[in-house]
Amino acid sequence: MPGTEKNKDPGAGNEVLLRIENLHVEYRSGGAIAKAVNGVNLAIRRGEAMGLVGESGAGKTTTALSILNLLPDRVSFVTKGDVFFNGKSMFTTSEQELNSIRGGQIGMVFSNPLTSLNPLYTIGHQVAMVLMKHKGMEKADAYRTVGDLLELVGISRERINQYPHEFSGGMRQRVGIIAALCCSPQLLILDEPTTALDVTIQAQILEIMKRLQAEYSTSLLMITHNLGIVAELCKRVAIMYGGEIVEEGAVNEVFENPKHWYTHGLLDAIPKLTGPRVELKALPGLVANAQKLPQGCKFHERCAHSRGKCIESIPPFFKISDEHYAACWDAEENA
Amino acid sequence: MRSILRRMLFSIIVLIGVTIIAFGLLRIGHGDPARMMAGGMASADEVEEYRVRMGLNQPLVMQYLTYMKGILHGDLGFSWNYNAPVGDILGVRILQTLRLAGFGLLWAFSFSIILGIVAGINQGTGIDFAAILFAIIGQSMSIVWLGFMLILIFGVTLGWLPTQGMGGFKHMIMPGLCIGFGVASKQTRLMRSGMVDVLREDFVVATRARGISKNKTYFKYALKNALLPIATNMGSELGHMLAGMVVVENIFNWPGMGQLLIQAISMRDYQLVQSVLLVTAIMLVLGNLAADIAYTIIDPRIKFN
Amino acid sequence: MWKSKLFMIGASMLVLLVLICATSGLWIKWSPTTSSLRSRLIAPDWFGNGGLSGHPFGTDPLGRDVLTRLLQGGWVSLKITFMVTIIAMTLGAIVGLVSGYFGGIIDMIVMRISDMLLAIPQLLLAIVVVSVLGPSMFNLVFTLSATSWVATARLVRSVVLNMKHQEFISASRVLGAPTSRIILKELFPNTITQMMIAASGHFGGTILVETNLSYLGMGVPIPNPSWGNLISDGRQYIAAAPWVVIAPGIALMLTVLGFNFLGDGIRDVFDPKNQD
Repeated sequence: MPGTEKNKDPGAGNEVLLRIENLHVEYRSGGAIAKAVNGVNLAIRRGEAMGLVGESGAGKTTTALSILNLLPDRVSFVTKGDVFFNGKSMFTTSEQELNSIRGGQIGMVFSNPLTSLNPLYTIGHQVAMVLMKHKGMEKADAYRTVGDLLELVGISRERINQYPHEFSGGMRQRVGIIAALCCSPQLLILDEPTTALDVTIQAQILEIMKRLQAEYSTSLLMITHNLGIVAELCKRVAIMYGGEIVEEGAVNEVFENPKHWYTHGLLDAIPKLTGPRVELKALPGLVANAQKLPQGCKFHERCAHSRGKCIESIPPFFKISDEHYAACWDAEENA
Repeated sequence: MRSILRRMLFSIIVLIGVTIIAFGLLRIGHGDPARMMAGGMASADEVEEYRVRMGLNQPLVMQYLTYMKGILHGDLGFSWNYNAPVGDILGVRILQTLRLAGFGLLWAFSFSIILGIVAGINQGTGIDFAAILFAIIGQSMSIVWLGFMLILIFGVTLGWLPTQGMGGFKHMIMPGLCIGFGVASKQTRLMRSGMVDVLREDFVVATRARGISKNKTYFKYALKNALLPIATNMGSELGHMLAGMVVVENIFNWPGMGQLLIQAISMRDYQLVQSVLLVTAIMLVLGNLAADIAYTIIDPRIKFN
Repeated sequence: MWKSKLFMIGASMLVLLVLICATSGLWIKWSPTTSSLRSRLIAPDWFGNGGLSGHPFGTDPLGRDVLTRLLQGGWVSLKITFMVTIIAMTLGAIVGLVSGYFGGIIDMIVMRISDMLLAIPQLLLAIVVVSVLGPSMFNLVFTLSATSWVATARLVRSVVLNMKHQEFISASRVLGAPTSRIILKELFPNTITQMMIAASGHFGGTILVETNLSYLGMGVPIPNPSWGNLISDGRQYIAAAPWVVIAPGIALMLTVLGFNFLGDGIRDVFDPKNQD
């Protein structure tokens, strides 16, 4: 299982850049309530690369949008908790300041490159506007910088005045990345940046990410369901299920010694290239439905090891080691 | 580009077809223009005289070809009723109708775009409800009834506006309101749902995630996307307005093409009627063509060949 | 379909209206066509003066009871609209199915002809046709049908074009199903939802055009009542007796509203993408 080689680790021991505290987010529409995020606690240090892993519907994108306070109006509600960036709450800061944080200090790359760029404006315009807003650049300077950035990610600067539809998905994603990074943000959130792309492009994008992280020591929040990417890029990982973090810790510890049965299941489901052929173990059942969450531990219905206690009460985080926590009753012994 | 040229070619074929239909329609059924011109008391010989003079004794195909040849030379025929070339009569009338139609389109689109945007952005609020109500009621109303209600309220009861004929701007207000109402309500609905759809797109969140303010994101970046289909509707709505013109011009006694058509058809003034239909069709076709071309120009996703 | 509030509102409005108008012949007290110069332009007494024996909605310039003419005229307009919609949509569906499925030169000819018909606004075309044919109920239904089938044909054709290349059609063809079977059993049922939505629009549109024609004197022949005729009757006296014009307009608006709600309701239920 790759991932045991040392990742660049400029983040150890630094101060906390982003803290998500007991975040609860609900979506309400036409009488139905979906509890997307149920008590998430997460901290990312300066320079640290954190992976956020979970299946679709686990609440990862909601968490990401909460960080930026960009949850959709009227349908989403933060019922409890807070998000602190550099010590300031993102829910009480003025809109004006939020606008300068978004894109300036926190950058975000979205999962679908085909829809996250405005089809009616050139890519040059869409990146330049970020530079002009946050760095106060003049148009000419901004466009020149955009040209430089394009070259950095392997797109010819001649194409600066072309429209998104004239680029492939992979290239559009690269544009999305430079738009997110152009103002050297302290935190870069990537929401499944390679899901819509094929594997070879994926590898290219990862290379770009690694290079950029090394150069600018940006903190990274890499949201994905792909454990391989986490292993390549991240130092820490948080596993999310049913809107909660169920296991969290250093990547090599969590991957080598998973303590939550969900994490076990995810790791088991990865086909192995070496060793004897074994049957692929898929996780039974379906992802927890945010509108009808189970009682107690949200994973108990799909867990082969669940018992009475799991249905009765939600397990708290048990400390496995300094860098490893898991919310599972079976982890209690080791704590 | 090539597809536009092809569209133009088809349009010409369509217009030729329209002339055939118009020509053919008039000649079926009863009503003898020669008899009408000669008068009820005329003898058979006198009627025959008129028939020859009006060219009605020629075989149908000849009559049609003569008419078409005339068109190629810019001659739209001769009106028996008015005793003048059709072109002269039509010229003024077209202008009056277009004035009214233009005014109608202008206010209808301005109003519906603004209302639609505000409603779309503030989905679920009072203004949204009002916009939807306006859209629904407007589409369910009869133009005729609306015209008379306007006359009743603004002309008779309040006495603010003149109710008949043409004159200054004041004369144009009520008929203009009337003719544009249907378009305004339809476009309000379209603009609103267009805005709602655009606001759901990923790039709107992405734009805000890059730090662009809510106002700028909505009113500059999202708006352009929502406005795209609407801007091209102007061309196609012209057609619906031209239909309503007949009635509106009747109610408000506005001397345009609609009024002319009704007078002409009752007198079986063949060439006048044919030309009115042809001119109307031309305007409709041009309107649609303009809308298509506009779309091609505005949307960068459509490539020029 | 019953779940959609819009649909139920529209349906109830229409059912109520149709029932009242259709049965009105049985319980009205006045004749819709006999004039009575003695009773000209009486103001509405709102069921005060002996209920239906009085003039709840007043009388028109020829002394005829407005409510009576409203209900009878409504029935006439509704009948005409219904017939026109059935004829026009059936014709349109057939043309659309054939044109869409067979394509080629048939399709091209049909498309050009429909373009030509669409190039002249329906009302104008209808005016010319009714003028040359003469005013009568039959001519009215004929004209309205002949000038409105094109939209349905286009709709059905585009649905067919979309489905034609889908696999379930190819599968049928491979299995040797005859063309008529493919058209009738597989293509047509898929057009029904769209057609239902289009039908409600067609009803609404047709009744409005009929009103316009009748107003101009080219629709329902006088002295038969029709909402359009009523409006034109009251035209001269709008200042003195506005009720003659107001009543039919409101009835018309409620009818078209009903049809629109019906159509919207159907669309809500069957088209998941549509969330207004």
